Amino acid sequence: MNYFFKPRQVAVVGASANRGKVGNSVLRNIIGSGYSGTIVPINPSAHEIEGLKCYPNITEAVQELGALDLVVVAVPAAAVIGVAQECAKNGCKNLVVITAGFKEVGKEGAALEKELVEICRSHHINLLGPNCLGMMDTHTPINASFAGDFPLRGEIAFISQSGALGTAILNWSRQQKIGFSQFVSLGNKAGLNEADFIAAAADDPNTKVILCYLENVVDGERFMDVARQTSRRKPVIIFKAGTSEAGARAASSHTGALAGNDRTYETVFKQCGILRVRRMEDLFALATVFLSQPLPKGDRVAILTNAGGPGIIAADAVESRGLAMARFCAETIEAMRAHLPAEANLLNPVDVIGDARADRYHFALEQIIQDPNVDGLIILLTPQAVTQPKETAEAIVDVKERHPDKPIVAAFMGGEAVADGAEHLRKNGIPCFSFPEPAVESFAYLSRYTKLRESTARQALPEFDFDRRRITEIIKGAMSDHRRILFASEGAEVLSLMGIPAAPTKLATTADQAVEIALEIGFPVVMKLEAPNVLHKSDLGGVKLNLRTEQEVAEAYHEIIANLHHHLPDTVAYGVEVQKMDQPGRECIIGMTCDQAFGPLLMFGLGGIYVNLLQDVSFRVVRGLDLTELQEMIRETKAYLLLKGIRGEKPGDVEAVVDTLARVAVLAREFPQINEIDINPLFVYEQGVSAVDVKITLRKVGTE
Amino acid sequence: MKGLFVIGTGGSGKTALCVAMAQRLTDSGAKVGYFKPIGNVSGTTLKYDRDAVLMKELLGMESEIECIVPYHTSPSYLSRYTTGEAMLAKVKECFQLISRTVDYVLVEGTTSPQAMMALGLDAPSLAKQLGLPAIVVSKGENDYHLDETLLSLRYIKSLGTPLAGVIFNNVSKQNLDKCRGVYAPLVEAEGYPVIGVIPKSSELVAPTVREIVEVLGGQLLEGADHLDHHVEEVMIGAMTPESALSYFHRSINKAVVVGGDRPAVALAALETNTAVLILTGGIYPDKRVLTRAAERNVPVLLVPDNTFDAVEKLHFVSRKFQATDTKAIDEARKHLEQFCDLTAINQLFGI
Repeated sequence: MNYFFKPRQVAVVGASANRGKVGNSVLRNIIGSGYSGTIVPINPSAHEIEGLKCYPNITEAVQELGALDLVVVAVPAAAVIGVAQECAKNGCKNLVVITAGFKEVGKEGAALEKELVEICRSHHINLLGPNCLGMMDTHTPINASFAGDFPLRGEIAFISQSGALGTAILNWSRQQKIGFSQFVSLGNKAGLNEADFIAAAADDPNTKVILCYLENVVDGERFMDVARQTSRRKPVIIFKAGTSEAGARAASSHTGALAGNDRTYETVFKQCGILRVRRMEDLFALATVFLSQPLPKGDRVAILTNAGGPGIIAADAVESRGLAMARFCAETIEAMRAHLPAEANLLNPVDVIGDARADRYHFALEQIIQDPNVDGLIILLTPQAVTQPKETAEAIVDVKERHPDKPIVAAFMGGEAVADGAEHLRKNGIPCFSFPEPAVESFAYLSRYTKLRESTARQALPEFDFDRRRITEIIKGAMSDHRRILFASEGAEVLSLMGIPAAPTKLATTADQAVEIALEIGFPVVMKLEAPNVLHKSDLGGVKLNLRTEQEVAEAYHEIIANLHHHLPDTVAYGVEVQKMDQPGRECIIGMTCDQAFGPLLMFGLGGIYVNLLQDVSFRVVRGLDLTELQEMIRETKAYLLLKGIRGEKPGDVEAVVDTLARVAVLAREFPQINEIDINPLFVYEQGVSAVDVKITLRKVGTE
Repeated sequence: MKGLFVIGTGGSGKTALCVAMAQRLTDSGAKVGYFKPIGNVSGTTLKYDRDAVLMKELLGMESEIECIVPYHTSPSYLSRYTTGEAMLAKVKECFQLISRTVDYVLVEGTTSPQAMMALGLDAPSLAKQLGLPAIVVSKGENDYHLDETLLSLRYIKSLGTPLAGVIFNNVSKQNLDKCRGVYAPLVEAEGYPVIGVIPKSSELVAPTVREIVEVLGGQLLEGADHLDHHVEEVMIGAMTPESALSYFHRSINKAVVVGGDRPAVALAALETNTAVLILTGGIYPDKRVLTRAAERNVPVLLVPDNTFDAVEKLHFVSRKFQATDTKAIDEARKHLEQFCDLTAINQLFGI
């Protein structure tokens, strides 16, 4: 994408002399942005547009000019294919299709889009759009879009899946004095998608922070790889819309694709070091904080205030956001005690009380910022009788300039009285909020990002030996049977082949066989019905526990089959599973589901029948998963406390759980035909584990 | 002329067996005829028994359809027909006409072995009257099916009709072992051989999308070129969009019935192996659903019924293959050759 953002020549196909036409807006925007390369209007029925020489087509333009680095297309949808073919013939490598009327309008549009993508793919053309606003780079500078508001030059790259939202933000940003380095409207994402532009922004020397508005992710696996690499270099902050069911539905119809599960996105973002915001305005507030403040060395926050209430609010927010209240050194406290009024609170949060003028703030700030136990400061101010907001702001800026290595965020509460001060802070690179919580929140993001950057080297999952041939055989066997759910006995075998201890299970098709199996694996046994499309076996009397004799086993076989006939007379059972009944242990659940975009997703939590009620579960995407993340995902749950042992219990074998999770992850990664795995319960003992109930469902891959 | 009378219950796959046997005989150069003395009209739009129409076309028979299937039965046949003698005479006459020009005649009984017994026109009696050996085709899905089979065998024996043996057909995989290990010995204890145990094949049993469209009616919005997919299962899209995807992944070749106002669920179904999407409530879908369906080659049927009624109607869809279903016809033949005692079958025809 060498010349995508920094083209030497840019052509506008469909350039028009009619003001108000998109082809005219784009052309004038490029001219107006101060672009210094060659601007090439293309329109067969004009000789000159906006004072520039006009070419009838791309071929003639390339013949005369040698090359066209970027081609922006604003002709009707039906003519776009022809333009793309011309680009391919003339070696143009970057194409921005602004034109709408593709996949978003239905079948014919989708066919057209497919054709466009095919041309671009086979000729290695970077395609942005179609159905997009265009793109901008303020450092080139170029505004290759039909959005009139060219933003201020800045260090934020903004990638937006919504064009209209983009125009609103661009307009707003000028008023807020927020500058951008790059702006991209993704459109239908037929060619280039969010991952490409995050990668481009990561390499752009003018970009320090990357912001995204996304409704879905197209290529989940590449997105994860790019995001993982980028987030260690630059903060990537994402607002993901479509979190509610209705929102997801709207997003689905907006993009023509499944929006996917919000929990999956949450997991993906966390694993890739992406900072996710829940409100649109936080996106830009955070960007400003990241641009102006150094990263804190740790999570210890000092709060300085001139009123008790806001101090308490901020301290509460610090705790709830997982930050720590700094504990000052004795020297700091002593120094403050000598000069601050007796009524002041010298312990964090430091309250310099209502009659504090700028000099008192200045003094306290000086002491606190130098304390080695403080990683960053939150300064609160309320307008009281003698408060000097402007002068206090100047004091803060002064201290900040002399101690630039620690982040400071402020909250000047009030309206007109504090406006001057707040303005002075913002102008001088200190983020200033109207209330304490967003100030703390932004600090929490800084701290989280610091941790992310410092997190140690990744420890890949260990390699396991397993019988790939036999597992494939089991899966293929079920598939050729037109089954999408493995028998419990097959599931147990697959887990055993992966090295996961599973209760021995075998399928009996007669009562005699059931007795034979029971004798072989040993009493007591559990018996479970195996029949097509029976999801809740116990509801129809398909499960018998704790069978201790041959007679009991034979009787249970007949009863289970009779119960099936009673409830579902037309269903023919495959047989009855006979399973060794294991000693009860602490019950956990391990699950795996395949996400459409991101692939296998691993789940761990508290097991048993209340799983859905308690929802004590955590998730990780298998792609790029490492051992530390497996340990983390266990620690995130209450089940972990249960495993550690409560009220004098001996601890359970957490290592064995980690090992099981790792093996399930490898199973999911190596066998994409597996759609879901559900081990519930997994009995966890003081030593070892046992997978008691295993359900594995399959899906067709390849042709699907 | 040699002939064989195929007796069995509805859904046991008599016609598929006739097709398979006819194919084998024609391939050996013989001329084969088909006769169904008592037909059965299932739908309301048809005038003649579908099997008879199929076989006439398949075998290129010149005989009139009224001769290939002279009578049709129904649950109130006694309101229409009162005595059997004239009917029997007509049946014999038609049979003679058909036999005259061919080397072999395959005669197929109607929906059950006992149907029209009141007039003496039940299949075992007709076999005796036409002087043909019979075979009994049985479903063998449960023990009651076996009992029905035994009843037929003993009745046939009491009539003195020559009986060549029994074929268990359309047996689901989970019942194959029982069929071979338990049912077959019980049949053989009656003194008759089990000529074959044939497993169920979705190609032969599962209805196609076309058959579903015929029964449900409605408006086909997409995928007119993909109506030959087989539908093995019906799923209802009544879950949340989040859980829909993993639910739909559990089944293949399925019809998904979902309200037209649930595009997210419909889209999820389209991401999985779906043979037809049935949108209910007469609500025209979001165009993205149609776009995706077109990309995935999945037919979309819009029906005015609500979801419950649509699913009820789907119960009445059954597989009826046509002369153009070469794949199904090949499959039927392959099954016959693979799972039946061919020497025994050849003997029936004196080969």
